[in-house]
Amino acid sequence: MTTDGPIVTVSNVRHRYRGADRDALAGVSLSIEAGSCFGLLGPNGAGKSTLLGLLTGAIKLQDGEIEIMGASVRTDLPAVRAASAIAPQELAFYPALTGRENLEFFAGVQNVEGALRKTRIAEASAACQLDDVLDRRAETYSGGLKRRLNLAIALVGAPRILYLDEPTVGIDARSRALIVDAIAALKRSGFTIIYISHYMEEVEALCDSVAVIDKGSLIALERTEALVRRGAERRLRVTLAAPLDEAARQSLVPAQWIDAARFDVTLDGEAALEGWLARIRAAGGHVARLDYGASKLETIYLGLLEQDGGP
Amino acid sequence: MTALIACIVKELRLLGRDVHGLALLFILPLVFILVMSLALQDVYAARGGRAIDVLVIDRDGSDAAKALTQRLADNGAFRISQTTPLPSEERLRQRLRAGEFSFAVDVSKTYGATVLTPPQPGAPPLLTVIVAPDASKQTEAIFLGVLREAVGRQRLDLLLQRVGAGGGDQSAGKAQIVTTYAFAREAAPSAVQQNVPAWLVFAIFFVAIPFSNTFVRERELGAHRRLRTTNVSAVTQFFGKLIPYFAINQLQVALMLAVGVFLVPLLGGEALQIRGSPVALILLSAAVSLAALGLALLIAVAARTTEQATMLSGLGNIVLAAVGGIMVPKFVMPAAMQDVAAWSPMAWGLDGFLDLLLRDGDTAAIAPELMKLGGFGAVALVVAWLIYRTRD
Repeated sequence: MTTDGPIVTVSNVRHRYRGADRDALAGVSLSIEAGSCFGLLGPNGAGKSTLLGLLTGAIKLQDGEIEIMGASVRTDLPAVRAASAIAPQELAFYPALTGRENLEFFAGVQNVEGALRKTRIAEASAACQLDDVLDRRAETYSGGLKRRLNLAIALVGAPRILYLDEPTVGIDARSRALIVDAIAALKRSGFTIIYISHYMEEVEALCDSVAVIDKGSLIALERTEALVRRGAERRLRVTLAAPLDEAARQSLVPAQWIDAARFDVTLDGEAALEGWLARIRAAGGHVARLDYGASKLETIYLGLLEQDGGP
Repeated sequence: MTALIACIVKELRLLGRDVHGLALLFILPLVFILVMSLALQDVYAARGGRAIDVLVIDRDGSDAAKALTQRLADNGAFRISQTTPLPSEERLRQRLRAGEFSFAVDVSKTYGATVLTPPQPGAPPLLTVIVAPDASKQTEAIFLGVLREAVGRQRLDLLLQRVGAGGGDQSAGKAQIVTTYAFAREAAPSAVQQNVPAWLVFAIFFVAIPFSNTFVRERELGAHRRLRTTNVSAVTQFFGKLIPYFAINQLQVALMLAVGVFLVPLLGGEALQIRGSPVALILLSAAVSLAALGLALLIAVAARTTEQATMLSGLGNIVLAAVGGIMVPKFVMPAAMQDVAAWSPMAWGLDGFLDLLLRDGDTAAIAPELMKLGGFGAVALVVAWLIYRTRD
């Protein structure tokens, strides 16, 4: 299923809603490699949903161009829609129907019928581990099962591209892990995944590259690994064995305190590390852990938003 | 075609699991039909010219008493029964309370001997009238007037006979009064003829509630948004909803007519006679359904929330039913209200059914109703489509 080169190309896309005083998207350009997982990050109202709407053809393109597998959303929307599917943030299915009936319906509206429909339903159900509950009404499902059904429905049309909008929101850690595993398996099997989430550890774990949108503009677009390392080479995160009191914390200027037992500092050479360790001891602290040279995606993300002018 | 079938199957499954929706579409009108047909059958029957039941207790047995009974029987307004043996007063009152008769006339045993005698103080009355509890004051006054006129005429006849002038000409008075009706009196509906089609039309229009609710709910759930990212067209989705509800409407027609024909008589009411052209009945049923579904779709696309959809469809239907002759028959409305009723699609549907069931109408007879219903449905569907496309 994997093909070389970009499978999605977004070129200078602008969009403004009727009555709005600014663009929801202001000249966004990006491309997504086939078979990759692409993270789309940004605060609420940044323009992610607008971009998703334009990519799926749910919102009419005003300015710029979007091509999905070489097909323009302007001129060949049926091909664009046939190639992609969305698992929206809402639980977009019918609670009164069983899981199987929901899958049958969404397969049916995509003209998947007969033996192929059965096969697709079986595959989607297996991918999302729904086999045991498929004949129960969806309204009886737990939150995690509902999220998995939401994802399975996106699979019955056998799309090349999957848009996953907050697929793990509002569920417990175990269910989240199940869904993340399922998405990782889908990625391995060749699906191109566009992944929107506020859970940075999921994005970091799943996505090959990441775009950060804020106020309708793209403020970062690069490989996840490179982004996580950007500006983090000289960063040291210190985790103390026990919290320090206020006076001791103030003696460790210019540390950036995360809480009373953790802080970040920027080192200026190896000698600086030794100097900081001595200062920590002098302040009465005992080091429990040191993390050097890498940063969490969340830190980078928040830093990018701050550079862009805050919320 | 696969997509359309998938939409239809989904809609039927959803409706099949909507217990409240099914109750609204089938149980509610069924209950209305049974209650109204049975409870109002006497009212409609009286209006239709049913005779008032009168029990005559002739304690005299004289020719004069028999002649009086015959005079009452000759008046078409009364159905006279006589009883032997004579009932006790308590038994008599029981029968009146039970609704067997509106009046009982107790003819004294001295009636024949004293009918020409001027009333004496303290003498027993010639006649005693016992009134049933459900007889209206108007009916009582009319009956007493007729009874006094019958006794007076009998006295006159007896006096004329005594002086050898023979009896008066009974037909002379009748010839001087000619009655005409400002309405089709021969076609006045019975309770079942009025209520079965009335509540049937109401039920057909009530699809607006489950229809608009499932439509708006689909939007709220996000399923609609998801469908918009697939290649299933809005037209397919619309027909996927309209076709199942059209089928439901036809099932309602069949069931409600069956209730009128089979169930109402089992419960003591009059059976519905299905007359008129079957083709016309099918066309009318389809036209009413088209109008109802047009209105339902209009409400569905206009409403933003399920609460709005429920309120708009519920309230709208009740208003249309109230002005359209469903709750109160049009023939008892004042002229101004009848003019208002002429604008209700429910009234068009009901008029069509009454033309068929009551007046043996055919397709030509209901053509105006078919055109109005079809036109209303088509306009509503087009407006709904335009609103949908604008909001899309």
